[in-house]
Amino acid sequence: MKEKSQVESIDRNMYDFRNEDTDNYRLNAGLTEEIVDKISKEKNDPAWMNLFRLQSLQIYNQMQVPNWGPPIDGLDMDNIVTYVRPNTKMSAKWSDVPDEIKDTFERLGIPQAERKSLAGVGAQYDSELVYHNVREEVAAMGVVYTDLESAMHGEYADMIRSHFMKLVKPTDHKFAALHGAVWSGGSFVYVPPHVKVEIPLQSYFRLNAPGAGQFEHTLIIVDEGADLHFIEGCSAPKYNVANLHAGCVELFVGKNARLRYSTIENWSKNMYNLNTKRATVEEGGTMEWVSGSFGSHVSYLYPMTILKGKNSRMEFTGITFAGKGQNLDTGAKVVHIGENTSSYINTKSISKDGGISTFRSSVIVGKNAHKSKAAVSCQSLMLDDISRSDTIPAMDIRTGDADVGHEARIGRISDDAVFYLMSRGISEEDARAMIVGGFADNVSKELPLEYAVEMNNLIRLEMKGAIG
Amino acid sequence: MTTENIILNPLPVKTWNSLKLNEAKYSGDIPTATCIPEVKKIPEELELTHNEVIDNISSAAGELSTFLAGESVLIESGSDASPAVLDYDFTGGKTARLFLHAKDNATLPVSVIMTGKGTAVLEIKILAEAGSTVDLSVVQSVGSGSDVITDIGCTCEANATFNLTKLELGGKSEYVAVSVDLSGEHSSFSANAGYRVKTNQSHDMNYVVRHTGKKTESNIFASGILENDSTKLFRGTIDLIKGCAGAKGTENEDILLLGDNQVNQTIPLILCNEEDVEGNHGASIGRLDDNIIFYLGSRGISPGAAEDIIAHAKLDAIISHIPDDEVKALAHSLISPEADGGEDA
Amino acid sequence: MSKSTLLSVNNLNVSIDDKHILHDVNMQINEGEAHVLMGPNGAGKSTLGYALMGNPQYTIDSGSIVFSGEDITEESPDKRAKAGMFLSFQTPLEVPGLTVESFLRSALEQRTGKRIKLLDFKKKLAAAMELLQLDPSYAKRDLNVGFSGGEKKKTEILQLLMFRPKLAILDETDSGLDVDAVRLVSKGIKTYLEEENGALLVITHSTRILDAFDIDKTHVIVDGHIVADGDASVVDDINENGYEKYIELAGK
Repeated sequence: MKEKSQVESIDRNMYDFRNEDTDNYRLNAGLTEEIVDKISKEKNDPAWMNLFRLQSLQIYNQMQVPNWGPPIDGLDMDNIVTYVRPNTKMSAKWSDVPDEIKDTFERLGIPQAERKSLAGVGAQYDSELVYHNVREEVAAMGVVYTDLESAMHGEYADMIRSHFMKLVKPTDHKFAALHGAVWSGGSFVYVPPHVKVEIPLQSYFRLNAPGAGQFEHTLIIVDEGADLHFIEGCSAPKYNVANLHAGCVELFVGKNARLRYSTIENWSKNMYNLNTKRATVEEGGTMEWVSGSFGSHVSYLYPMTILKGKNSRMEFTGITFAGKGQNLDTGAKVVHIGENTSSYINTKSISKDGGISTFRSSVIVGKNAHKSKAAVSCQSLMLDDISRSDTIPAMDIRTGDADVGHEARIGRISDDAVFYLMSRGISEEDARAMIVGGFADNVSKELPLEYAVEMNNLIRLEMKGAIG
Repeated sequence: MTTENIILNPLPVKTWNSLKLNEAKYSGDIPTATCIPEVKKIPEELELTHNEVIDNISSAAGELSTFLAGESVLIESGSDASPAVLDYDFTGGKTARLFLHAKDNATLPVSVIMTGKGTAVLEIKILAEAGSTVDLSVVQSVGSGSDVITDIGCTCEANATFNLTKLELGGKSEYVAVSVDLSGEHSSFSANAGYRVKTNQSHDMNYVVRHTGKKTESNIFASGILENDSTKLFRGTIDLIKGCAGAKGTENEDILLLGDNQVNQTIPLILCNEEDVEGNHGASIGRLDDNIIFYLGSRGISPGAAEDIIAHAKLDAIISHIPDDEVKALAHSLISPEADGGEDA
Repeated sequence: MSKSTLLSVNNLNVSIDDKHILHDVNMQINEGEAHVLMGPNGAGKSTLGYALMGNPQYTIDSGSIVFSGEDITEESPDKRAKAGMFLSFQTPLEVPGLTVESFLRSALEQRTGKRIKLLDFKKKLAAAMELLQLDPSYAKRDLNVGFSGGEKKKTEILQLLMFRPKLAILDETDSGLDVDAVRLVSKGIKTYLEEENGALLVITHSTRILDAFDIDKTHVIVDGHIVADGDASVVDDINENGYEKYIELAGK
């Protein structure tokens, strides 16, 4: 259904001309300097950003796709441009949203107006209203919460320049490079020293502007002693025409600051979600991740934390639910650099209806991270024998006085538990849903109430029809 | 034969390349000279002959097999046998190949002692037929400057049991690959590996257990001591393959760090494609706990001695699984060379 | 037989994590004497036990501990143990991989500095285990791993009987035990007192275990201060009237 652009047609001709070199073809047919320049111009980029995009493009063209993880053959790498410049007209009609997603909206009871906004049509005023309310409250405390594109030109231009893709470098992997070249939309948050933001900031509504959202960049700086809870995405499915998401999140947690970053991700199930999230934490700072992965066709998602300052700490709480047709490769990474740092990774994953869930992690404790503590706990639940659940945790410990523990468990719903609940008059379907909901409570109890409720609804929906 | 960068011990499922855990690269000698064992003990019930090389038993050693030549020694058991003991001296660099075949309902207890100075390559292939039990102990105390490569592969038919005890004390760079196919129903595998990696030595392990039979069970326990500037990498994979309903796989690692500057890497995989299974992994890594040091201290044991006692106790626990008493005694003497015979007789 | 001083605690001040817990504690225990240290929960009883044994988590801010004529204030726990001090832990540690038997033998060898004949050792161990009605199979089990509360406490007393220290500090050894277990533990302590003429410092807030032997002296600790020293009658007084009067003393 893609619209052939001028550039693409030219490149097709080039393919005929130099078909002996597939890589070169890919380079030209995929993404060109012209396309990137065009994006840059549309975004009104400062000169440095334009250059940054072009450099990222070069890196993108030189890098290989990963040789590990779920297959991404379904991605048309030769025509990556179709993901970068989707035909945005398509997202304008509620009638284009697949029935499966509409159905879920109905069941979740999301109001009509909101549904429209999610589909990218006129009801935007509704979300803008919410957004503005949040913005005014936090602005009064000196907090900056704005879109990244306009922030590049304002008061915070230098701050953005010195932080943008410094944590996730374009050389990290092919999709980070792609992001660097074509990023668009996203948020910038700055919390000044010692400011504690009581209510969570949410990026839910802003991400759904038509044409944005596939390559959005989130940059959050929480200054010394400050405190923030940021919620990304929402528990309702997002419908996007393009099915590649290569977003990037960079979080800077200052001395004795605390940042909690919560995500409930429920992309439509044709999405390749190749998202990169990373945080760096200064002395005494705390980074908390709460992450739920329900949607997308394929996910590569491993939020990484660099515990740079001494006594810094991180906690990662995650759940992944892989249903039919989904291959979700999720987990977390942590690097302990400072002394006396601590990390705790606690994840649950559920596989059902042929879904594949992989927990992947890496814990690195450096030479100087004396007296650091790292613990990893992952539990997986298999709901049938056509699904798959893999656990791939890596640990690399370079100091003798670190305390490192790891435990992994794969199992099924206990028949005894189902029987027990059924003996109290609960249907088998409900009993299993209750048990799965309980299994997921590591995440739901970390979420604000309305999100926890929606997440539990999601689990309930996923579990519907699980019996016979 | 001198090799460059051959791939040993590949992880069955890859992860981030930057971690450098996906495989080991070995550059060095793969000796062509065959190592003939000294048969210390062979009971009448066992048949010892030479044999064509067996190639339908899996390996977790990567490209090693393409470099191996020469025939192997075959030990066959058709009944309930008492222990056999083979002593391999790898001096000068040698390769040994051994095939253990336990026929239906037979038992086959074999101890292998590895000594000498020089690159030591040992391949052991095992076929455990229905209802049989293979007890294999490998005590490795090859000279501290040598490379040691061990490749153990086993197929277990229905109700067969493979028990492996490994004590790894010598060598400079050691590579251990253990691949077990639990293809028969109710078959089981248990591994108890104890190792002590000394300063500037490295120890690279790759354990892979594939559960295909129903109600199969595996249990891998690796207990190690890492001294100053030593390197260890443990790869352990429990693969619960569709159809293995009722299977259970467990891997546990226990590591005691003595001193500093160790590189301690662990990657325990659980792959699961079946609902009715259990897979578990646990690891505890660290120095001797301060509370234990204080507790033992309050009983008159100095911190240094406490470390020795605990390290010794860890290896002792592994040695207790060796079925042959003489090999057990030898193993004891290897972990405490100063012992004067006052130990349990 | 004239009694000479075994332990003297002089103006001891102890803190943990910068929290001052023991204040100017003084105590003197002569050879062969049985002392009782009583006090309400949180008074610092166990802290004194740990500090005497040299737990590195407790900091001695000032004062001294002299044992058998030697100043051991700065000594490590193992040196104190070798000098003849013993602490029975309120919650004994589990040490996976180390059997009771090999632990006892290693510790005995460390204490004496020479190898112990296996036969003698086994005989002695069997006798002590029988006295405490510990099943002989426990010798081969990992130290305290999977032991019940009572078995752990018995294993502590087993160590007391094997090591024969000059001073045994028993920290709440009777807590959580049933009547039979208290009887057996008391029997073990009695045997130690009789055969070794050992000294005893019993830390307790109950009095069940105190029926087993004669008390030479009682110390009452409240809020980290020793508020009263007396004879056995203090125990009866506390039994009847509680700690109220002593808490008042501490307030002054």
